[in-house]
Amino acid sequence: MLRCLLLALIMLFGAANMARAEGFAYDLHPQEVAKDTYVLIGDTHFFNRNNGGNIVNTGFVVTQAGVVVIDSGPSRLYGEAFRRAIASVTSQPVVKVIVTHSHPDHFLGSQAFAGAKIVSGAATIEMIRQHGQELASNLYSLVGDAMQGTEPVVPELLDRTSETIGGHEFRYYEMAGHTASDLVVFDQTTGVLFTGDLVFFRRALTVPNAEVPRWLDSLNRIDAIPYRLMVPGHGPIPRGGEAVAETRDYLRWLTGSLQQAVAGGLDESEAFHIKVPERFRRLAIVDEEFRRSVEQMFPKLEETALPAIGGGS
Amino acid sequence: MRGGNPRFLLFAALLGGLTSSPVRAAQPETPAADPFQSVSWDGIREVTFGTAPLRFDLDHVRVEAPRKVEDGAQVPVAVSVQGLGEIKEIIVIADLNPAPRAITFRPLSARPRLAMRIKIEQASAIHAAALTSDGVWHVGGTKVDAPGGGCSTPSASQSSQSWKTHLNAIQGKAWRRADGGDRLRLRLIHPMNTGFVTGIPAFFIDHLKVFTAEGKQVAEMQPGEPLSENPVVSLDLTPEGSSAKGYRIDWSDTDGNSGSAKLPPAHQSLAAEEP
Repeated sequence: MLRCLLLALIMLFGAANMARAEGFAYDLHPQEVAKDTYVLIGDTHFFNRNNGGNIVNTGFVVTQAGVVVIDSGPSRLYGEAFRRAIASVTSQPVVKVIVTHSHPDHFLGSQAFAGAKIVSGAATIEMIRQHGQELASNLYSLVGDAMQGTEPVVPELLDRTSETIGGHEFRYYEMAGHTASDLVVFDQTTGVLFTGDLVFFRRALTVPNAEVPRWLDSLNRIDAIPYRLMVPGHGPIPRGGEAVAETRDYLRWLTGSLQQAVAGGLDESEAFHIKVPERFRRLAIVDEEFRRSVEQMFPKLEETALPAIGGGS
Repeated sequence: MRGGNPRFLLFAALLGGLTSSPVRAAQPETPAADPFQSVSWDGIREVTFGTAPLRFDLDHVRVEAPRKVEDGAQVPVAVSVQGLGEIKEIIVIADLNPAPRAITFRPLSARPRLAMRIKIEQASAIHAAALTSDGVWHVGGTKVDAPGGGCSTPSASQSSQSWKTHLNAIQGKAWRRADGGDRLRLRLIHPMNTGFVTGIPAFFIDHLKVFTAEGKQVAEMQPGEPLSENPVVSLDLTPEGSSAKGYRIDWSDTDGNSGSAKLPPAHQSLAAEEP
C-alpha cells in the first residue's frame, strides 16, 4: 500500500517535472499607465533562468487603427506571451512594432509579430543582421529554455519622424549613445515617452556598446521633450524627470572615475575595487553592472589614454 | 568542466600519456591536490615544473580575475606575491586553454606583481606559480567562468588588418609610487594570434624586456599565446630598479619582428596604492 502511494507520488512529481520541462512560461501583466497605453515591467536582475531574459520594459499603444508595440522582448516565447497580454485588453491587431535598439532583450520577441510592420533605425538593422544570431545564442546560454525556437528578425527601416496611427500622433527621435541607434518614441496624444535604454531607473545601466558623450547629449534632448509620463528601458516608471537625472549622474560618475583611474596609472584589476558611492546603492545590481562596465570600458580607455612612445609606421 | 572542447581533450590525452611515464615513480612525494580542481593541472605540473618542489600557497600567491568574464578575449588578471622574499620567476597559466602558459615574468628589479589581460577558451582555473630563491614553486590561483572562444576566434585586428601599419607602435607611461618606485604600464599593438584559428598561424610577442635609460635590465617577460591582442601589462619597479631618466622597452615576436621604444620618466604620482 505504502509502496503504491510512493509510486503514485513519484508519478505525480514526474508529470509535474515533465510539464515544466515542456516550456518556460512568462507571467506578463500589462499595466495601464495612460489612456490606451500599457507597459510590461521586467525584472531588474541580470539575465537568468528564472526571469527567462525578461529584464526589459516593453509597451503598447491601442489605437483605432491597430496596436503599436514598443520593443518585442527577449525571446519568441516572450513575444507570444506579449501577444496574449495584448489580446487580453483589445481585439485590435498589432500593426507596428518599433524596435528601439539592437540589444537582445529588446528585439528577440519579434518572431511572434509576423504580419506587423517591424521597424528600427539603420544601425540597429545592421547590428541585428550581422550579430543577431550571436546575440540570440549568447542569451540562450544565459537564460536557457526560455529561448527555445528564438530566431532574430531583421527589422525594416523606420522611414519617418512622425505619423498618426488611429488618432495617436507619434513622434520618433533617432538618438544614440547607449548603442549606435536608440529610438525614442513619443505619443503626443497621451504625452507618454518611451525612452528605450537611454534611460534606466533604479537599475544600474549597461555600456557594452555605449558612446558616453552621445548618450549625455541624448539625455539633454530627452529633457527638452514635453512628455507627461516616461517609460524607461529598465526599472519602474518614475514620477517626473528623476530617471534622466539618475541616468546622467551614474553615467558621469562611471566614466569619470574610470578615466581618472586610467589617467592615474591604475590597472583594470585595481579599478574593480573603486567604491560605488552611497547614492547609487539604490540601483539594482549596481556592483555586478559596475564590474561588467569596467571590463567593457577599461581597454578602450587605455587605448586613448596611454601616450604613444615609439614605433608605428 | 564545462563543454567538451575536442582540442582540449586531445591535449589532456597527451598529458595523460606523459603522467603515466616512469618519471612519476621516481618522485618521492605525492603532489598535493589542486585546490581549484583543474582536470589538467597534474599534466601541466609535469610539463611545466617537472619534479621541482611545488606547494600550493594561496595566502602568499594571489590571483585576481573576475569570476564571471564579460569577454573571453579580454580577461583582466592580476598576480601578486607577498611575504616570500625574492621571487625569481612567476608563471601564469590558464589551465584549459589549448596553449596554457600566458606569461613568464622575471621580476629582476620589479616587485612580484603583474597585471595583464589574457584570452580564455572556456571556463578554467588560472594558476600562478612563483619561484622563490630556495628553488620552490609557490602556487596560487582562481577560477573563472567565461563565455568562451577567446583562443579560437580571430583577433579584432586580424579582421581589420590595422596591426600591419601599427605593428611597431608602443604606448606607455610611468607613474611614481608612494614608496619611490615606478609603476610602468605598457600597451603594444600586436594581433597575438594563437595559431588555434584555422588558417591564421601563431604570431605573438614572445619577448619583452625593460631597461633603465642607463641600460640596466630591470624586468623581463616571455608572453605566451593567451596574452590578449594589443597586450597591456602593468608592473611595479622597486625604488632601486627605478630611474629618474626613464626606460627603454625592447620586444620581439615569433616571426622575428622586433622593436624598441623610450619610455619617459615618471612625472606624476600613481593615483592610489593597490587596495
